[in-house]
Amino acid sequence: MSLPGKGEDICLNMRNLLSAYVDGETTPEETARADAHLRTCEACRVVLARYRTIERAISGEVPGSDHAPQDSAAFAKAVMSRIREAGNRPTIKARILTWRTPIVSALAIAATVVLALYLRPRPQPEPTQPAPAATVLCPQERRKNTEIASRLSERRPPKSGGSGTAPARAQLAEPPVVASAEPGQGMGEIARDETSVKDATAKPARGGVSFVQDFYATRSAQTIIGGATPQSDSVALDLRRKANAVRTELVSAGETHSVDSLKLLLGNVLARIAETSGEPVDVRAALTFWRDEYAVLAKQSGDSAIQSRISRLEGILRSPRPKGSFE
Amino acid sequence: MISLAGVTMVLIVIAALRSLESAPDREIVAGVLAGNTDDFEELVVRYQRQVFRIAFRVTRDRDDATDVAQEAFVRAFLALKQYDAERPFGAWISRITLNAAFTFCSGRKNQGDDRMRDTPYEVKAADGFSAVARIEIETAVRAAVAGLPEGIRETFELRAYADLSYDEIAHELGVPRGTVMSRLARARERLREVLKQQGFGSESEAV
Repeated sequence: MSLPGKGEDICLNMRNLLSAYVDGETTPEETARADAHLRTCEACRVVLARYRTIERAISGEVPGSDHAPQDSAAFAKAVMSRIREAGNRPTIKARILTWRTPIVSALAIAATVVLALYLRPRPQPEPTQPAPAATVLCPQERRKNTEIASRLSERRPPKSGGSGTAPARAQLAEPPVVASAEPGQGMGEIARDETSVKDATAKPARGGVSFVQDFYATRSAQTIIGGATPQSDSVALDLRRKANAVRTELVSAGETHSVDSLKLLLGNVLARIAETSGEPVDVRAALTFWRDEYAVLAKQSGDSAIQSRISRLEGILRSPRPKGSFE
Repeated sequence: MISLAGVTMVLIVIAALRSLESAPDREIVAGVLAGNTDDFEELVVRYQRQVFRIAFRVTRDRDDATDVAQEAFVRAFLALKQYDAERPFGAWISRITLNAAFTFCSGRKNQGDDRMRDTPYEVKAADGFSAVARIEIETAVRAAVAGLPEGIRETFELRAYADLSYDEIAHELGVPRGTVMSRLARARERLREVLKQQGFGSESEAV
């Protein structure tokens, strides 16, 4: 249903050249050759625009971020303190452990089982005692969970405050970070690399992996519920009312129903809201609205491409609430 | 006499600091490997912007990017013996950062969190269209990149997320420059094809 450009196939001999052109990796002669070709070839101009779109989608700056750690001095100090606390020196352990990891894990699991049986009658007082839950995890899961545990335990450099995103973030319950309970210990103990899986197995993070999972499960549930706020719903309703009015105009102006006309529709609706109220628009509501409009279009056209757009938007909407705002 | 010695000491210290700041990466690495762990901080200072930028592009979240950037430096430190001093340090740590960032994101994804973070929650209505359009196409492009064949994907990621030059990528992956060029061309054609199949074909979709 989308409107493909006129001729949209790249000239075969231009593939490498146009790609390098986007990257700024052409020699002056190549640049001149590409420029000359682009002047005469519509199809390649369209292709070039697509390449640039792809580029921007990945590296495009997100408004409000300046791409630097908030406090660079604190960042460097935090890195160095992690390195020192690890008490490690550069080693080639990493390479050896890559193939040895399964064996190490197997041994560790065996050791854990023995230890767990041995310690069973007692309460579990020692932080160094392995969490029994770990014994049922396969090595891959263990590594994954170790990574999660490790990232929860990492220290963030102190914030210089005043961040616009801080209140939004505060809505999500912060993980009861292991390291913060016991400065000086959490980070040293918890593996943060595949190289240290062995150590992690022997000394799991206090609270254990299941603790981390619980936290995430709880948080996901909260944020999913939080995502469908009455506020979003009322904005979505408002959008739909306005959309119907705009749609009538579009139809009378002879616009066919297509992805492009939908985008026009949304653009017009939002512009109208801006004119009349100047109120900010809830992005989630706009996405919901757009998803619904796609659904209407999909029903009419049976276009599978639209279906994939719908699922993608639903994926975004299922994710925890987008945070932050910009002016 | 004592003050002269003091001044000399101060001058020596300043000279030592200066030389660290102006030392090439490979000398700092050699120093760290020889046991001057603290010198690694100079590398952190030099590359933190670059590392953070890559981490941010992948995670799209400032706090997560900070975590990933720290992780990348720690990984680099632990693997420093494997660093080939003939190669640019920036390219080496960029690759480590990319790996750390994608590992992190897959962990996040396994927790049901597959969002484009730092998505504005509210936008001015006048910008609303571009904000929503941006969210849609960025999500689509990232999914398409993740679906590229392994070698092509890594080459493309080193270029698009990490901004490495063709020569740096060639060095890092141990392939000729021409291979880098043709892989990137193939990646782009494939991405274009995938996006077109999903209906991102028309001019109005350019972000």
